[in-house]
Amino acid sequence: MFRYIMRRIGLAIVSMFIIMTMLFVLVKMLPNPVPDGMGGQGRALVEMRRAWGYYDPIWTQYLIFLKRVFTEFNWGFCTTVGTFLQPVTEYLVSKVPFTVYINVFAEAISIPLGIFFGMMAAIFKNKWQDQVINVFIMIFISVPSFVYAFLLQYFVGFKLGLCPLVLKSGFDFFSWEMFHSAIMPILALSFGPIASYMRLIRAELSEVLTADYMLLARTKGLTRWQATFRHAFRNSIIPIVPHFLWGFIGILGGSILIERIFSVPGIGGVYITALNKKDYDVFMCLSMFWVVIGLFGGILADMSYGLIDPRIRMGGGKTNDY
Amino acid sequence: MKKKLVAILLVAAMVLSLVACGDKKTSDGGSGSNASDSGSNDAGKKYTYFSTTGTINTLNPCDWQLNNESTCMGLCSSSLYDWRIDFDSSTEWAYVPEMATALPEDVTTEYAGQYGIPADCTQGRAWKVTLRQDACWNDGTPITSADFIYSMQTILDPNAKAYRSNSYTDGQFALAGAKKYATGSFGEAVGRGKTMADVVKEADGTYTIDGHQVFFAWNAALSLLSGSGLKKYEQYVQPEIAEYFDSLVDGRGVMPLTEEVYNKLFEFTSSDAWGNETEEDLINYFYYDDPATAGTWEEVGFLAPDDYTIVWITCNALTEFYSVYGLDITLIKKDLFEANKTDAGGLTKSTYGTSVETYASYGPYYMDEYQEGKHIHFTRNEKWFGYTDGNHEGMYQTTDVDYQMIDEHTTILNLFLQGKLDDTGLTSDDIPDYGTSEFTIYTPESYTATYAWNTDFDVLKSREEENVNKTIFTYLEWRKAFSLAIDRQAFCKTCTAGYQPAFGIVNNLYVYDPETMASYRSSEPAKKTLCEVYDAASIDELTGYNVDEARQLLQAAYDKCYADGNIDDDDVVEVNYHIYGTDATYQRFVDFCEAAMLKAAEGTSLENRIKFNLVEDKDYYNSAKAGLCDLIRENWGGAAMNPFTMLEVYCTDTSNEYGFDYMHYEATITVNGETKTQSVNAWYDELCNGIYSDADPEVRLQIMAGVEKALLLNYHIAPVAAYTSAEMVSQRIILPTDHWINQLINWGSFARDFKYTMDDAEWEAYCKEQGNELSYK
Repeated sequence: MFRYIMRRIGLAIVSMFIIMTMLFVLVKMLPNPVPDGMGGQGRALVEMRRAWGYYDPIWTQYLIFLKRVFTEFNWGFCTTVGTFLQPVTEYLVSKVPFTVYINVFAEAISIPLGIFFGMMAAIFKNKWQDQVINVFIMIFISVPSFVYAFLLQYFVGFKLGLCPLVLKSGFDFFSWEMFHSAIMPILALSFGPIASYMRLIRAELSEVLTADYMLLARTKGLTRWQATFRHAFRNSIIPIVPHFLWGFIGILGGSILIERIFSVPGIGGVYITALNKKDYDVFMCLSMFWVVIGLFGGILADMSYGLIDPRIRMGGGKTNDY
Repeated sequence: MKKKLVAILLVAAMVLSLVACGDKKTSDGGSGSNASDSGSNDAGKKYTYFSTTGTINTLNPCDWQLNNESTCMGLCSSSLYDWRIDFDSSTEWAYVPEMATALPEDVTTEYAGQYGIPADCTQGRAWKVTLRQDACWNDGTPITSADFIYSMQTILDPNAKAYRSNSYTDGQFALAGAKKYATGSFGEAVGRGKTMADVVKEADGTYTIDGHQVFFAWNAALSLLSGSGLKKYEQYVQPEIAEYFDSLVDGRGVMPLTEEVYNKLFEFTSSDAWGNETEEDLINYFYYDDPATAGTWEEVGFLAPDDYTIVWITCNALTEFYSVYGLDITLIKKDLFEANKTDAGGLTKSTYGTSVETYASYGPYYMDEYQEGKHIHFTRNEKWFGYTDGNHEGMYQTTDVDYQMIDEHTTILNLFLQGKLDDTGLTSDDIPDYGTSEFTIYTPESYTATYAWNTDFDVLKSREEENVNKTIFTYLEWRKAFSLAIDRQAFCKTCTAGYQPAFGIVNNLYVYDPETMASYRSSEPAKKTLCEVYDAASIDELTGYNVDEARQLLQAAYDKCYADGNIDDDDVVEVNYHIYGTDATYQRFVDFCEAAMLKAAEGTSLENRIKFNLVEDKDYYNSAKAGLCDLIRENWGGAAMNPFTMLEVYCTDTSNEYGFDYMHYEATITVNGETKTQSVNAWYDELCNGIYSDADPEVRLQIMAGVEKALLLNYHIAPVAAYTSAEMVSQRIILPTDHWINQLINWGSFARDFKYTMDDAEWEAYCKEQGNELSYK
């Protein structure tokens, strides 16, 4: 197991370097012209860019980038995104809490509701309860979350006046006012994952409920609910747990549209903005943040299989060859 | 009993301390209570102007870039002179001293013979401004001329490469010696007045100026190219020459000038592709490094003879109006700027103006809250002289300004309808609902929307696929048909939020004589141009819309194209219309153009054979410049006090119209009785940089109108709409005027001139009464 993990970590580091190099080269290859008609401002911009090394050969820029990242952990400063000259790491750290705030709540709602309704659908398979839940699954999965966002904002926020239309400003994350203003983005973010979890649980549980050992459990005298919870549910949850894990990892990605609609100053829109405005340092720092999360999240997710079900062993060196 | 007494005493002490805290806040300038004579603030009442803004990156006067930032900086600063509504004046506006005590005094004679002012010059080059003595920063530090000097030195600092340094180094208001100082020792030869006569070829094959080595600027900023490097235009350069330059260029974007480099450069600049420049023009591409010629601060035309006097010495002569209009600077607080200096990749920059702690105010408001990407709040700066100087009676009822940074229009509109915002911009989708609301105001803007065609035959031909034709765009008849097929009135109504039809390259806002606010479009030469181009008897009859003629022209274009073998019977004409996005607003533009052309094509050989494709392109200006688009809608504006410089975007390398040869396309114009024919580029040069730059306004109008006519008659551009922004203001706002005044005043300043019928508390209660859903229809 240890060797397997070490090997995966080693591969992840190699992958990280390859991705980092590709991203750096590709983003630097994108055209970044000084807009026309700027006269002296254009000249000043060119001079600034020159001082920042934008016109050096890409490999020279990359070596300088690597040196400052790995010797000083200096990811550079904001130029066109965020606050001018603010260190990129500081800027991104200031954005992450807002994204995490709404997404953690969204995930915390999604998992129990997804499990509960998924189980209901499986237990009452092909009955009216299942039909109703399936309708909602179809609606929630087919309709993009920004549509709910607009509907919630219009009906719940604007027409009924039950919640503020935008997230409250400030950093008082534990105040009622902040949570109240976050309810609509949380709900808009929850509907999709709820439906997704419902569908997964329903499918897995439906299969397990028809297994022979469930019949054995019932014949041994367990009630339907006891058999379902003690045996079927535990077995059906194994392939789904990594989805929960990925759900939490995905939290850090944010949601561009939901954050835009509810004016959440999170990290969701930063990536595209940095790419459009050619803020190279912000782009690279954020990219690598996600690359690292993705690569190591993958290792964690794989390890979680073994932890949940001891029958699953990692790195045994066995193949499917006969 | 004893316990009760102690409790009572404690409560009393707490109450007293709270009161004391309240008093302290007021004295610090933090409360909304009124201690001023500026009139309209009822004691203790808050009048917060709630609005939205876009991104704010910095409020540093050196490096701000966005209009949002300028607006915020304006709240925290005072200009030397203020532009105000004055209904007693025939023009309905006036300029009055603000940080200054009187209008600027022309002291050119005192400085004649210095700072580049000719010894015999008597007016317009040096302006003395006397400063008021009661101005101070929001912490109470007095403002003197030393603050002005420090601010100017900081903005022009050659080690800072400040984005805003060009305000004082280039253009009409450039300060004497400022460019030289800001450039440092390594700079353009032409910027130091050098010509090819100063370039000496040495025995070793290199070149020098005054004994210093000369460099060719392949990828360094050139004034000739508006700050771009020559490399930006490498598509015009022979590939082998471009590769050669690339192999030699250093980190500064230059290379030593050798005989080989010289010859290759001249081979390119003298080619047809680059407009057959002469050897004398090569000086425009050279840099050299001479520490002795680096400008010093002493050479900069910005002086402080005493603590409350500053003198501006400019490169160009200015009238009093322009000295008031153009000579100003946003001050920088020295201690804060210095404390926040940082090395930004080798440049000396400061994080001044990026947080509450790093910013200072000397205007009517100061920033007291800032959350990046979310919220910014300003409150009254009680230390501002304007609240007590008696010159601002009845102004500044606004006690606070609160901006939320929201991008989503639907959210903004909903917040406005709830009463949470005092204004909202309107889009074309909102106009049917709110376009005629009594709370909607329209503000003309200087921008003109113009369709620009790609007319390069080879490029269009190369993009033609089977049964697709594009080369028909190169026929003048096609482009004229397009111009006539667009019903500009309907276009504005269907596709925009209140834009007005436009027919010329600049709109009605462009003023050629600011003293009288006489607009270019209302001048006789400009009217004549439009009447001739659009074949109208008078300007009032002008519509620019004639489907019948468009139909004939389309048929003629087809016939010619067919006769030339460029189109087949089963070809469809496909127009790739590059536009920023794909949402309904953008799609509407494309659909409108297609419908207009399909209508014009009815009954012709092109009936049902025209198709417009929306191509999403975030960088469509550059795409057009590279010849990748068939059609774009470009928008040019700004500098509305100078219509003449607008020709730059159509007659120089700034032009987006791929295939239009501004170096050779000619205009024939009669000036002072003499008729001359030359390229539109040459006319532009003479008008803005050459012999006609100081000519009589009537002569300049004649040339401008002549060039405009030549450009319009080529139909590679088709102006369609003049920008107008539409917005609604909340029901509690009282505007200072019932009509838009001009581009200097607009509808008045929201902070200074807007009045409120209710304070914040009353407004909140009122909105609640209305169920937080106000009616604006």
